[in-house]
Amino acid sequence: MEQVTRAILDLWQALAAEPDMGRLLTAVVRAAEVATGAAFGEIVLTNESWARLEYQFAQPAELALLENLRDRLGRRIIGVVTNAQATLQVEEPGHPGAGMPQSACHRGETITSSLPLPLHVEGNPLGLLTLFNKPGGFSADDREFMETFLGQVTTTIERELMRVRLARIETRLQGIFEAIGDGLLVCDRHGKPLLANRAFRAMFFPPGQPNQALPAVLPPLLANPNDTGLQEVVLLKPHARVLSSSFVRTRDAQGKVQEMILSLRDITLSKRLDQRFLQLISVLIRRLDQLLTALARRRATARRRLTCRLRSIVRNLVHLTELKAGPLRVDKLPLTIREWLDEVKPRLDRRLTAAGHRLHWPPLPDEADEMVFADGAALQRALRTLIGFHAARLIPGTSIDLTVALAAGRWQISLVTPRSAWKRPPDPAALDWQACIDAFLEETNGRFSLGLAYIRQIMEAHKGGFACSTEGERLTFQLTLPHGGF
Amino acid sequence: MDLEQYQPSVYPVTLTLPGNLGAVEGVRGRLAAQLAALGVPKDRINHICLALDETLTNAVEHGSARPEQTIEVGYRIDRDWIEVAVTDQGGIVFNPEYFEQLATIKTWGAGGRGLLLIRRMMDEVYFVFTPGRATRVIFRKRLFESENETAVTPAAAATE
Repeated sequence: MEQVTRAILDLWQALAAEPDMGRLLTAVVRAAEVATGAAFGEIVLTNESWARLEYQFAQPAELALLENLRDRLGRRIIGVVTNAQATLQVEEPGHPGAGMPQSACHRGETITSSLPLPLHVEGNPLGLLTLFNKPGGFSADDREFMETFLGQVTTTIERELMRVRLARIETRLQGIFEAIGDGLLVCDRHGKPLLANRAFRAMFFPPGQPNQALPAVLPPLLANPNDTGLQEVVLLKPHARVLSSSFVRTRDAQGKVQEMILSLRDITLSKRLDQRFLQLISVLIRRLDQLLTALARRRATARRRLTCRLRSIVRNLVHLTELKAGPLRVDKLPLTIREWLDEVKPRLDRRLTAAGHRLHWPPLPDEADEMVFADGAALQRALRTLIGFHAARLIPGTSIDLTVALAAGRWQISLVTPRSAWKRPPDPAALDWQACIDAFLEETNGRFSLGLAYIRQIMEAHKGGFACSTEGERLTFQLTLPHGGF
Repeated sequence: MDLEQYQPSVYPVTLTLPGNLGAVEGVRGRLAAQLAALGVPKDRINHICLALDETLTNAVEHGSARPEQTIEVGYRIDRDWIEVAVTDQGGIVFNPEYFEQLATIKTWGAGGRGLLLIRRMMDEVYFVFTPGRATRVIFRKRLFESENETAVTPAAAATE
C-alpha cells in the first residue's frame, strides 16, 4: 500500500512542480461547477480503490512535501498531517459509501447531492473530482458532459506532465553534457556551432588568449564525407594542444542531415611523452649510425673503443625499452641472499680487478641462508650494472666496501666508496630515468646512462629500493630488499 | 559564450595546385601583391609568404606522394587579419610539436625547421589531420601591428 501511495504522491508532486498545474486544476473545478451548476466541487486525492487517502507524515521532508502540494495546487488537496508515526502510513477511513469517498471539505453545508468523477493520468488513478449540491440533483447528461470534459483535462495534464519530465531530462542531460571530460560540440547541418560543453570551451578558449581556432578547424572536421570518422586536431598556437576528434553526423528518418556532433579528447600529455621518447630514440639511433660509419673506417685498435660506445648506446636503448614498458615482470624463484651474492661474486671481482679496484666482501649474517622468493637473474643484473658503474667511474686503485645487513625487516646491501675517488661524483637524479632523459635532451653531448634508473626499477619490482647518499667523505649506493617475502 | 560568432571559415580565394613545387612561386606572388596593395608592412608580407612557402613545400614533399594528388590553398583577408589554409591529400598524421622541438636539437639534415618558422612568425597555427585522406594547415596573422597602421581599402588600392 505504501508503494502505491508513494507513487500517487510522486505523481502529485510532479504536478506541483509545474506552476501552471495548480491553476489548471483550480480552473477544472471552477469550470465543472459552472457547467453543471454545482454549488461547489473539490479534487480529492485517492488510492487505487478510490478511497480517500489520509496521510500521517513523520519526517519533516514528508510534511514539507504535502505542504508544498497544498501550497502549489491549492487547498483542495485533502490530507491529514500528523507527526505521530515514524513511517509513512496510509489510512483508509473505511466508509466510502457506494464505493466513493466522502468529502472532506467541511463548509458547514448539508450534502444534498454529489457527482464523483474519477481522474486518471497515464492510466493511473490520480484523484476524484466531486461536485456537490446541484439544485435538483445531477443528471446523466451532467455525468456524460463531465466525463468528456475530464477526458480533455487528462490529456492536458498528461501533456503538461510530459513537458515537466522532458524539462527534467533536459536538465539532467545538460548536467551530464557539462560534466563529461571530453569536449563536445553540436553543430547544425550547415556547421554552425549550437552547443559546446565546458571541456570544449576550455580547450578552444583558454583565458586571455583570444583566437579563431574554432572557425578555422571546423570546415575540415565537418567536411568528412562519412557519417562517422576520426581525426586529429593540433591547436599549435596559441593553445599548444593536441586533440583526438571523433565525429558523428545524425540524420532524420528521411536521411536528411540533422546535426553534427564532435567529440574531442585532449591527448596533449600522452603525445608529449611519446614525443620525448621518439626524440631520444632518434638521437640515439643517429649516434649509432655515426658510430657504425666510423667503426668501418677505423683500425682494430680504435674499433674496441668505438665498440664500447656502441654497446653503451644499445644498452641504454634496452634499458629505455624496459623502463618505458613499466615495471619489470619478476619471475620469483626460491633464492637466498648468500646464493645471490656467491653467484655474482667471481664476475664482479674480475670486473673490478680489471679496472684496478678492490672489493671487500663481508661475512654474511646467518639469515642470509634463509629462503626467499626473488628473480635471481634480475638481481644479479642489478648488482653487475652497479659494479660496472663503479668500475667505469672510480679512480683506479679505489677500495670498495660491500656491507650486507638486516635492519628493520629489510636487507641492506651497500657499496661504500670515498667520495673523492669518483672522477665525477654521481648525481642522485640519475636514479630517475625521466630526469636522465630530460637532462640528455637539454644537453645532447652529455654522457647518458639509464643504468642506475634500471637498477632502481629492478629493486622496486622486488618491493625494495635503491638510493645514493653522501655522508661526509663516504658515498654510499644502497640496495634494499624486504626480508622474508620479496 | 556566444557560439554564433564562430561560423566555419569560408575562403573567398581558393586555388588548386599540382603536387609539385612549380606552382608555389605563383601563389606566393599573388598573395604578396594583394597584401602590398592593402598597405601591409613589407616584413609582415615576407613572414606570411615564408610561412606559405614552408607549408606548401611540406604539402608537396610529404603530402603529395602520387602525381595526381593536388594541393588546395584558400585564404581570406578579414579586416586586419589574414587566414591561410593549405590542404594536401596525403593524410599523414604527425605531431608538429615533435618536429618543431627536434629542429632545435637535430644536427643532421637540411630540412625540418619549417614548422618552427611557421609557429614563430604566425599568430595562430592549427592542423587538422584526416588519416589517409587529407592534412590541413591553417595559419592566421595580424596584418598590422598597431592602429596607426591601417589597411588601404580595395578601392584606394585600385587607384594607386
